[in-house]
Amino acid sequence: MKRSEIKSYRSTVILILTLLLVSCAHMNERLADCCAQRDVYSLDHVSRPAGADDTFVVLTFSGGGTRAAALAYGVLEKLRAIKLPNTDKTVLDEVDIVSTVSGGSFTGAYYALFGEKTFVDFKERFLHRKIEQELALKVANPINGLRLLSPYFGRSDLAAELYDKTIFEGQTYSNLVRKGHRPFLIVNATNLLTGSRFEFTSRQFRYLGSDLLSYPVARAVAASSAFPFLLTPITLANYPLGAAAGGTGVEACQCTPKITRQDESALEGFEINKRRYYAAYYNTLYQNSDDHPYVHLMDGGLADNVGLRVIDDLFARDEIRRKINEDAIQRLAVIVVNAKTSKKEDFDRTRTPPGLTTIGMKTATISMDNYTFETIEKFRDSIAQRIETQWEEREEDENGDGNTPDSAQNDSLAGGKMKLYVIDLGFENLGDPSEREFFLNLPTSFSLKDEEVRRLIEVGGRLLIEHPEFTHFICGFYDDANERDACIARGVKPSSPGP
Amino acid sequence: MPLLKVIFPDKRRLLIDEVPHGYTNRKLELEAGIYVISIQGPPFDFAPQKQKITLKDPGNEDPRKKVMEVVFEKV
Repeated sequence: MKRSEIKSYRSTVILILTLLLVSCAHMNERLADCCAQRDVYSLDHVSRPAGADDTFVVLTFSGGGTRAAALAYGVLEKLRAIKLPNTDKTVLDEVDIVSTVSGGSFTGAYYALFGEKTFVDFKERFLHRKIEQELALKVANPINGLRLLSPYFGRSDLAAELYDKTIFEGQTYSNLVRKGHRPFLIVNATNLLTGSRFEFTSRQFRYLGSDLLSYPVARAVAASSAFPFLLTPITLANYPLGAAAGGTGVEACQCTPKITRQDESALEGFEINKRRYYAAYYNTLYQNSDDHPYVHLMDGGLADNVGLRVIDDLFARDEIRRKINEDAIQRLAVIVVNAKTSKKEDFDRTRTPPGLTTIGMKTATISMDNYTFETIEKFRDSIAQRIETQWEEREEDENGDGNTPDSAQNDSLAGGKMKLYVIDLGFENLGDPSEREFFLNLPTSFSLKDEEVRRLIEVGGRLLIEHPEFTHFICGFYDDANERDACIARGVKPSSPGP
Repeated sequence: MPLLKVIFPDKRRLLIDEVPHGYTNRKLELEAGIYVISIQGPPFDFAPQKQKITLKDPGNEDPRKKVMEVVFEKV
């Protein structure tokens, strides 16, 4: 072999090795100061404006690619156009939490980060783009092809880079903390080991001894939308709590351990409440970073495709429950934006069973669809039970049994006067069969036609204002019963026509 | 969900599993489970200092008991 050929081979090998070495995905950082009580991303820390809890509005955005993102955008746009009676606010001003999954995470995260700007450029920045093709081009790039040979760099890492650069402008969770006001964003992914949901919040990251604030929002969205097989997991490191940057990890946190008193209580009560037990179990699994040094995350839809499970947990035991028990919430409205489809199929018309592709798709989606249905129904049941308890307790108070020292409030159940609304929006609510069929047969993809996107945005807003429970929520702002009834009779009308 | 009522002569903030949560003498709806209940101080003018309780969903007992009462004495 000639000397010039050897030189050429050597250069190529060095280039490949260099590319492999730099092909390490962004890794979450270790929590530098585990004692810090400020600068965390949690509902309690994102509490401005003051008094924001009176009307507590939660949005959940489901998965479903661009279809879900556009539907969610249509709902946001309409919420922005509807004024709350007797206030100077729109419904959107009152949104406290946005919980998102997969495609819905793009819209929710963009709105949480950029607010009003969403209504200026989100359509062009995401909804009308052919993200799938852009990603395929990136994969086809020879340099990226080499980077993808690294075991520490997958297609989702490449997708995260694309989202970070072209959608989320390199913003991290510290940008959300600096904003300091609601909505509080909960991006949901799935922990591949446990099958449990994983939320991008400071609370969840604390179990990993990690700092959420330095984490790019685009990577959270990439994890939330890492559809199995097409994309790869996003990996997080689990650190011992209390080890400062550059530390050995030997020193223990002197403030509080990863496991809380709440976790300990929950773990003791397996027989009494298995839901509470497992919620604690899946988190405390990461107490020992030697046993579980990494977490591999995939599409949030695998654990919950509507983003409602986290809200159910907050309602059952965490911040929302605490606010209810402190009389902070007067009205609680949960708006579930569900872009679930149901393709028209006819394989039951032939004696031959369906082929492998159909069976594969069915196997992947049947459980998810059933689980989504049950998640929404379970939440509705929880709300119905709460309303029943409030009525029972009110009756008991009126019968004079509520002789508490606090009887001046004539309402011994904390939060007993709260109004609750569940507004579940989905294509199946549509009355027109041909329109319903159109939306139920849209594909799950990150590239939709412009006309499909336009129709999704329009229908999102229409589903919202035509939902009877939404009408009751809006009209409930009138104190006068006649005004309230008139409002219900005429229905909800946007106060501005919207774009 | 079951209800918990912590009885104390004054209106005081509670600590449930060491987290501030609700007030004394109100019925609080909580999911079933084991909890460590205390009153937020200062002043620490109550006894016992904390109580570990098991809150259960109403079962088949007759009469139906939905509210669990926990008493703290003023000292």
